[in-house]
Parts: sequence; structure tokens; C-alpha cells
Amino acid sequence: MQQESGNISEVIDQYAAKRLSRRDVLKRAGLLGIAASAVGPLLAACSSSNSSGTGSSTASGSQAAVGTPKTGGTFREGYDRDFTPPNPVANSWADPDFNALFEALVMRNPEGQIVPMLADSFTSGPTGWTFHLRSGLKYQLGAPLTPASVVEDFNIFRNPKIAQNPPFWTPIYDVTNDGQTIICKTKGPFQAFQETVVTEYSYIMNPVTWKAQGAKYGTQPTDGTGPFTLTSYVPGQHVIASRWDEYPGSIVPFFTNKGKAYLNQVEWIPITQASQRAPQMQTNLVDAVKNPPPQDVATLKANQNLVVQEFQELSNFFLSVNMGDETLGFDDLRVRQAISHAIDRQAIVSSIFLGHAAATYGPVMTRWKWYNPAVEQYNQYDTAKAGSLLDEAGWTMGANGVREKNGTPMAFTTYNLTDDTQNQVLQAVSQMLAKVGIQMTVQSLASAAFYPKLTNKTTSYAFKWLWSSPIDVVALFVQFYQPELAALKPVYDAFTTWQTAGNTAQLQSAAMAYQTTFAQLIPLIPIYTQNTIWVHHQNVVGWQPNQANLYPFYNDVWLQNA
Amino acid sequence: MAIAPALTGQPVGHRERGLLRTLTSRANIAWVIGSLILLSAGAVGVIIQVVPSLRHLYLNQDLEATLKPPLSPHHLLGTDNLGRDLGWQLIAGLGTSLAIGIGVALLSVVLGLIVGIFGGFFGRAADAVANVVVDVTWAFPAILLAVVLAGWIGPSLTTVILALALTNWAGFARIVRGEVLSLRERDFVNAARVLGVPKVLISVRHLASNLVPVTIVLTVYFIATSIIGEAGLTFLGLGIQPPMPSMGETLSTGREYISESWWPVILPGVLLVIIVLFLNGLGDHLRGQLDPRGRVQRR
Amino acid sequence: MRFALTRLGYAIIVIFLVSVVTFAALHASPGSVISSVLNVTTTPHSVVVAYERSHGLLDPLPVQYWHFISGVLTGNLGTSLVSNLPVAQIVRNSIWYTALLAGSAFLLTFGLGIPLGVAAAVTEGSWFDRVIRTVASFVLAIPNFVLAIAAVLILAVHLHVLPAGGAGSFSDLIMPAVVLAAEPWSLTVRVMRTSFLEHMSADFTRTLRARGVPEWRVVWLHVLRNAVGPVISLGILQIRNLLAYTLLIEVIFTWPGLGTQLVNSVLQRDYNVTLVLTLLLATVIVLAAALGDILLSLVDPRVRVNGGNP
Repeated sequence: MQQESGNISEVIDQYAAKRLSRRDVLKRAGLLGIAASAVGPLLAACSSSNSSGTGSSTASGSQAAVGTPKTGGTFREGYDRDFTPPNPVANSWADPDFNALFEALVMRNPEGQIVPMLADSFTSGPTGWTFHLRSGLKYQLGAPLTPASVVEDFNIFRNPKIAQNPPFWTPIYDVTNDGQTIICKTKGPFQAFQETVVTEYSYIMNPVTWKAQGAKYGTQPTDGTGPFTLTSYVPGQHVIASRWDEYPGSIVPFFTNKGKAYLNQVEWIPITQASQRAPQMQTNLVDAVKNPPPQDVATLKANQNLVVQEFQELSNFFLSVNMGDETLGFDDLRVRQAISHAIDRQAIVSSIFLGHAAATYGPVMTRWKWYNPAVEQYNQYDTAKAGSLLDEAGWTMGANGVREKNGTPMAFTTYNLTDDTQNQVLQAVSQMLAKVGIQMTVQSLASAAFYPKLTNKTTSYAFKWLWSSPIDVVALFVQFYQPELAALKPVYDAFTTWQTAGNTAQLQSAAMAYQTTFAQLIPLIPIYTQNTIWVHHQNVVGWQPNQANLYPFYNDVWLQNA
Repeated sequence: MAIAPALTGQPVGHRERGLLRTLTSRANIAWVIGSLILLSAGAVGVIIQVVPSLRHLYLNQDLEATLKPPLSPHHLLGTDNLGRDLGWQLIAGLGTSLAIGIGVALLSVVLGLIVGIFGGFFGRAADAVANVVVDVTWAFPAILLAVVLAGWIGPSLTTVILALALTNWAGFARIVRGEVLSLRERDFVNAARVLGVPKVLISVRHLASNLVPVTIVLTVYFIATSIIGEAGLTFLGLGIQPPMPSMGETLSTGREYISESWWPVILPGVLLVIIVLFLNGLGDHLRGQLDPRGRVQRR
Repeated sequence: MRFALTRLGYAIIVIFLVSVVTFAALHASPGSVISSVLNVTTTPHSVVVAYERSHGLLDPLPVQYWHFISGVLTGNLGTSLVSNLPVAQIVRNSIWYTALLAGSAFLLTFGLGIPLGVAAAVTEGSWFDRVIRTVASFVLAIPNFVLAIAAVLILAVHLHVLPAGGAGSFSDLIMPAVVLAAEPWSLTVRVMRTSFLEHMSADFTRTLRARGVPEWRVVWLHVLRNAVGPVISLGILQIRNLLAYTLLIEVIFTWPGLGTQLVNSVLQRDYNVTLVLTLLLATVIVLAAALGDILLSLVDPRVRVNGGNP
């Protein structure tokens, strides 16, 4: 395979001579370590050179289009899930409409730093956090945005009887305000709060409306402070938000538009079937779409009316084996390491994702701002090592190709959330494990049946977290879904260091240390992070997803044909 | 006049030739050969799944050779998205689908015969009960049953067979009931009743044996509809679980690659159409031979 | 009249039993709606319990069933456990899509099936008859989702002449409606043709001809009127299949009708929505059967003797 790959220019030449399919090129480029996003434009240039040869670049990144923003029009965005009611307090999954309807006190910029949004300044220290609220703001239904209402919001978010993310708020024991300043009190440093206060589950909403609407919240105007108001929520069909004409403007530094929104409306359309996303984009049923499947990306990139961008998803896909299971030896570090060494992550990335993903050897994605590449020295693909580790641990090869110890075969079932791509990855993993004598059967379940399996009683499950604060969510998984074990103490300690870090530098080094500890003990076996692929029509300007946030913002978006 | 055969349990009816002879006559030889080919391909498909040392044929992945087109070296029909041989995948999938089809058909026929005869032959009260059961089943969507079963026993082969059989038998029960209603007034049944033969025995001996032609024809149609039903349920994520292949599994996975390569979806699609065309043709043919009065309507 | 009332009463009993069975089956299946509503990885147990209590999920099952069925009878269909929207609104939002799709398919089936079946019968043995019969039996063998996939592959992915899915314009309707109509259409053509041929050679036709009634009157008035009967009973039987297939076709073409809603709500264990939608579908199926029986009893009084079952 190595000799066959050659270098990228050879590969492209072969493609031009039609000896290789587009898929082959992308696969080989993946083996050469070249991001698919870089090869795409090359291929597009190749195919257009025969005809006009003047096609504008479909390269990712900056907006090529310029001109004066036009007001008006409806922007239709295809989304890869169905919509849940936009409710920051209780909601199974935050969707892109949150970024149009709500704002937070502070926001994360594309580089991952914290910048002002509803608060114009903020401080952090050993006694907690303060946020100074901008003055003259109001909620969409007319009530003033008072500091007291923000305090009430925060008290709802951190109340374990009402909200769903209180674990992330634990170090804060009191929230008050002093004039325009909101004060979150802690007993010690809590720099990690910067990762929580920017998530969708900390978005500011009028608590009066939230209480009045009760269970209906999210199906009627949500009364946040975002540039758009909720007009229509029809799950399975669409969510529509209309421009809020009294929007007071924004001070977020990375928004170009400081005033009210350009678009009349944003319409989000759920396209839950992966194979429908590219065709719907190509036939102009939507102006933008999230996550066409990897195999459709090349076709989309070849279309000169479309712009394809990709960023690493804020996620990581894990295979979890229950460390409390001593009969199968999952308490033994060597067994977990052997499983990890048996998985050829690069093959999965290049064949199933065609390069639109990255192998992971530690708890977080490789493009995270504080990623520690040191994790890569652990858990690499090495079947010989996997075999010898299992031998060492006493699991000897049985007659039928399945290892055994004390008469117990190394065979187990892994539960998986029904998803085409995850299924394929696990099919591949299953066969890789079979080669070292581990028999893993995959059982896919729909969400309502899958989630109840997520307990520390289940032998094995596979799961992807998707969250903008990786260390927090990984720690939560380890804590909830592995039994509390002395062997995991270093991981718990590393998380405590993260949670009590006093400034950004300390937070960063705690994050790095957590990753190495995790990679050494692998309480969950990391496999891959896939890329989020964002496609939009050339007509759309200012729809700019970024690496640090789950979804794009809508303040800057306008349509050239509005 | 028909008392003697009724008492000795001889087959009774309008046919003069034996059932077996009808099926193997010259006019039927093409259909017999076709059925044998289909059944042996299905048997091969089951065998390579059951024998552990043969599983590699359809399960072996080659992530370096994914989605190779047909006529590639070592892969006559190409490979799928995980680099597995598509030809063997189709044969193994055919085995699964035929097993499901036959399983559903047998289960539906047994249920349909029991409830149909019960309703048609055991008095008004029995008929009313049987009718309610049939009508409630008739109105219950298969997908709901599949979800319930998938929740109980996990999505699997058994789930598919049970879900399809439990929603399909009602139609057959109706036909059986109609048949029984007309048969029970016939001389030989009346004669047996007069002679004090127990009702259960009459049902088994006379009614069931007279229902054989209808049953055979319907079984063939049931196999065809169940193969389609499996593919539908699997498509919705409620059916067969990978790595077990089936016509539906191969089709719905292949569909994800529709814009890139045609063979993972077209080949199983064409195979499915051929099988259904054959089974429908066989059913029509058998109907012509065994059911000249046209009591059975397809589907 | 008495038969009609008995038959309708029976239909209501069947619908009631369907509701009981659906309710029991849904609650018996493992899994929980909670994960569709809350982020289960972080939500404290107390929040989950509070949710279950406020939505009546902790009540005994008979009580829950009573709440549901008494609500339905008084016109209150409840709210979705997942989206909190009133179920009536969810039904209103999607029922027109399903009605439009199923209605178009029904029109295509009979609008194209009856004339072509008659044309094939009138020209029996000609090349036209043979073409129609071959096409019909071929179409009958193609499972509709295979047809759907092939149509998407050819018409949307390669030729770009029709959209691959969605429900925004008339052109979005064409593919799903044609695919859905294919199977019942081919059945209609076959049944129409056979029935027409039977009646062409029937006694009454010969009598009419002998009396000197013009041939066109015989064919277009008498034969057609009598031959269309089996097609109508076939149509009533096809309603169940049409509804079942609509589920699948809607999902494939991302058509936002009742089928898509039902599949989603079942997978999310949204009991309230699932119950109402199942009951709705069952009602249509059962009432169609009852209506069919009543219509047939008007035509053929012998049916009444035989009891309520078709």
C-alpha cells in the first residue's frame, strides 16, 4: 500500500487520466496524511480544466463573496437531526436555532477564547466570577433584561431539582448581583466555568416567561435576547424564526454586523436521512446543509455553486467496556490496552470516512484548543502487542479462534445507538478484534432503548459525546458509566485539578495532564472524531461555522439574491 | 356417496390426479427447476452463515478495497462499503431472506388455519371471537409490533419473523374461514358429523386436507411478501442487525452510497425483483393448477 | 339499515380493542421517552422523576389508559411528551401531507388503472394488451421501496429532473405518489381487464346484443358498469396496504406526513402521539372495511346472511 500511494501529484495525475476514481484519490490522499479538504479543490480544478477552467475555488475557509449586505429573504438550513423544543433548561439536544433565538453572557470566539456578548466585561478569581451586564437591554417580548433575571436564570440552571446540567455548576454556591454586576461565588478558583457559561444550556432567557409557559416552553415565542424570534416550531417539518426588529445590536467582536439581523427569516429543515442531504442541496431545496455523508462530499465540492467547509466535530467516539467486569478481565489495564491496540483507527478514518475524520487516542478531539499530542504514544494500532498483552493477562487463544481464561470465552455484546456510520465503524472494529481473538457482537438500538442501557451495569456500549467542553463531558462519562474504582483515582484527581484551576494557563495545563492520565488508563477506548461538514450555496454570505462552537451564528448572514 | 373416503381419510375433492403428480407434471418442470435453484442458493446462504469456518466468505472485510466495481479481481460482483465481497453478501442475504419468508409463511399459515377453522367450524360464539381477533390484528400496524418486539427481544431475525407473521396471518384466516363455511355444508363433512366423529378430528382430517391447495398457493405468495416486508422493516432500523446480511440490509446500506456507486444498491434490488417475480409467477401458476375457482386473491 | 348499524357498532368495538392492545404493547416495550426529552447523561434523577410525575407516567396503567381514552372521547388528544405540542396540532400539521400523498396515489391507481385495464380487454390479444400486461406484472414484482430507490438514483441523483425529497412544491409530490401508486395500479389493471373480459362474454351481454342494442352501448354502459365491481372491492382492500406503504414511502422521501410522525414517535416512545396516530390509522382501516361491507350488502343482499365479515 505504501508504494502504491506515491505522492499527491502522482495521485492527482492518475485521477486526471481517469485511472482512479474520485474515491480512490481521496482514500490515497488520506493515507498520505493530506486532509480531504485540501484535495477536494485539486480534484475540482482537475475536472473543470477540460471545459472552462475558470471555476472559482471551492476551497474551504473565508468568504470569497463581497458587497454590501442586503436585507431580506429567508435562509433555509438543512439540519441532520430533528428539532427539540428550544429550551435551555430541559432539552435532550441543543439545535442550531438556539444561536438565533438566544444569547449568553459571554461567548467563545472561533479561536476558543471567551469574549463579551450580553456582558461587556467579566472577571474570575479564587472567590468566583463576575459579569458586568450591558445596560439598556430587553427581552424579545418587551421586559427589561435585569441583572436579577440573569441571577434567577443561573439559579434555575444550577438547581438539581429543575435543570439538567447542575453537575457543571457544582463549585458555585451562590449567585447574586450588585447593580449591573452578576456575582457567582465559589470557595476556590473555578476557571473551568468559562467552558460552561458559554454552552447552549447557559443561554439567557426571561425566567418569567419560562415559568409562565411551563411544559409548553419552546413551542411558543421563547423570549430570549437573540436577533430572531421563534415563529413556528413543527418537529419533523421545520423551525422558523423571524428577525426581531428591536434587537439592540451586538458587541461580540467576531460579528461583523453590530446591528439587527439582515435576514427576514431563518427556516431550519430537519433532514434526518443522510443520503437525502446532498441531493436536497443540489436541487436547491435548502440554501445550506449540515453533515452530508462523507461519500457525498466529493460530488458537492465539484459543484461550483456550492461552498463546502469542514471542521472537526466537538465530539469523540468511544468504545466502553465495564471495568467492574472481572470475569471478562476489563478491570485489567492490559486487556483494555489490547483492545485499543487491536483497532486500526487510520483504516477506519480513510475507508469509512474517506479522510473526513481523525483517529483519537485520548479523550478529546485532535483540533481542540488544548489537545495534548502526547496521547498518541499510547494505544496505537499494533496487533502483535495486543496479542502479547492478552497472553500476559492470561487470555489464551482457544480452538475456535476466541481467547479464553478459566473457561470463559472473551465474547461480549456492545450496545450502539442506531446510526449508519457508527454501525459501520463498529462492524469494522468487531472484525479487527476478531483477529486478536476477541468476539464482539454489535447490537444497535434506537435512542429510547439505548439510553436506558447506559449504566455502570452494562458490559459494553459505544457512544459519541458531542459537547463544546470536552474535559467536562468525558469526566462525567467516566464518573457515571464506570464503577467507582481505586484504579481510576488518577483520572478523578486529574479532573479535580481541572475543576479547581485558577486561571487560563492552569486550566490549559490541567487539560493536558488529564489527557495523558486518561490515555494511560483508558477507562473508555477512544476511536475517532469525525468532521462536521457544512455546505452552503454561493448566494449565502456570512454563514460561518467555526472550530470552537457547535453551530454558526446568524447575525452576519445575508443572501445575495435577497 | 362420499362417505367411504371420508371415513378412510382419503383425499377428497374435485381433483382426480394426486397433488404430488400435479406438481411434477411436464408443464411444471420449469417451475420445479426454478424453485430448486432458488432453494439451493438459499441453502448455501444459510450454510455459509451457520458454519463458522465459512463465515469469512461474506464477512471478511478489506478496508483497502471498499466499493470496488463488479468484475474486479477476486470479486466478481464487486465489494461493499466495508470491502466485503458483494456476491457472497447477496447469497448469504438471500439465505436469510428466504429463511424469513418461509418462517413467516409457515407461522402465518398455522395461525391462519387454526383461527380460520376455529371460527368457521366451531359455532357462532367461536366465529365471533375469531372475527374480532382477526379484525383487530388486521387494523394493527406491523411497524408498531416490530418496535415492541425489538424492545423485548432486541432487533433480530426472530423479531422480523414474529412481527411479519403476527400481522400477516389475519388475511389468511379470513380465506380459510370462507372455505370452511362452504366446506362444512358438503356431504362428506355432514356424514362424518352424523357418524359422531369428533369435531377436532374432522377439522384435521377433512377440512385441513381440503385446504391444502389454497394453503400451498398462499404460502408461496406469503414468502414473496415477507421478503419484501423484511426489507422494509430493516430499512426502518427495526429488522436484521449487521453483520447478518439480508436483502433488506444490503439494500439499505447500499442506498447510502447511491450517488457514488450503483452496484451495492442495484444488484440486490435486481435480485430481489427477480425473486419476487419468480415467486409471484409460481404462485399464479400453482393457483391455475390447484385453485381453478380462483378463491385466492394475491395479497 | 339494521345491518349497517350492526356493522358500524362492530367496527367501534374493534377500534376500541385496537386502542387497548396498542396501549398495552407500547407500555410493555422496554425503553423510555425520557431520553428523547432530557439529556440523560447529565440530568439528575430528581428531574427525571419530576418530569414523569408531571406527565402522569407514574400513574397505574389503567389510570393512564383512562386519561387517554376519556381525553380522546371528549376531544382532548393530549400533548406530545417530546415536543410538548398538542397532539391535535401535530396531527393537523401532517394529516394533509398524508392525505395528499395517499389521495394522489389513489387517483393515479384508478384514473390510470381502469381505462388501461378496459383498453387492454377491448384489444385482447393485441400488442397493446400484451405490453400493458407485461408492464403490470413487472411493476407488481418491484417492491415499492426498491422502485423508490431506483427513482431517486435515476431521476434525482443522475438526471436532476425531480427533487430527491422534501415537501415544498408540486414536483416533490410526483415521485412518492407514482411509487406508491405502482403496485395498486398494476393490480387494478389486471383485475379490471379480467373482470371486463368475463362480462363481455356473460349471458346478459349476449342477450343485449341479441336484442339489437348497439355494441358501444353494450360495452360502455352495461359491461363497464357491471365489471367495475371487483375493482371497487379491491380498492377497499387496498386502503390498508396503501396506508402501510405510505409509512415507508414517507420516510424514504422525507415526506412530513403521519407515517414519518408515527415512525418517529414510536422510536422515541412518545406514547401520546403514537396512540393517537395508531388509533387514527386503525379507524380508517376498520371503517373502510365496514363501509365496503355495507356497500356490498346494498348490491348483494346475500352478504347480510353471512355475518359481518367480508
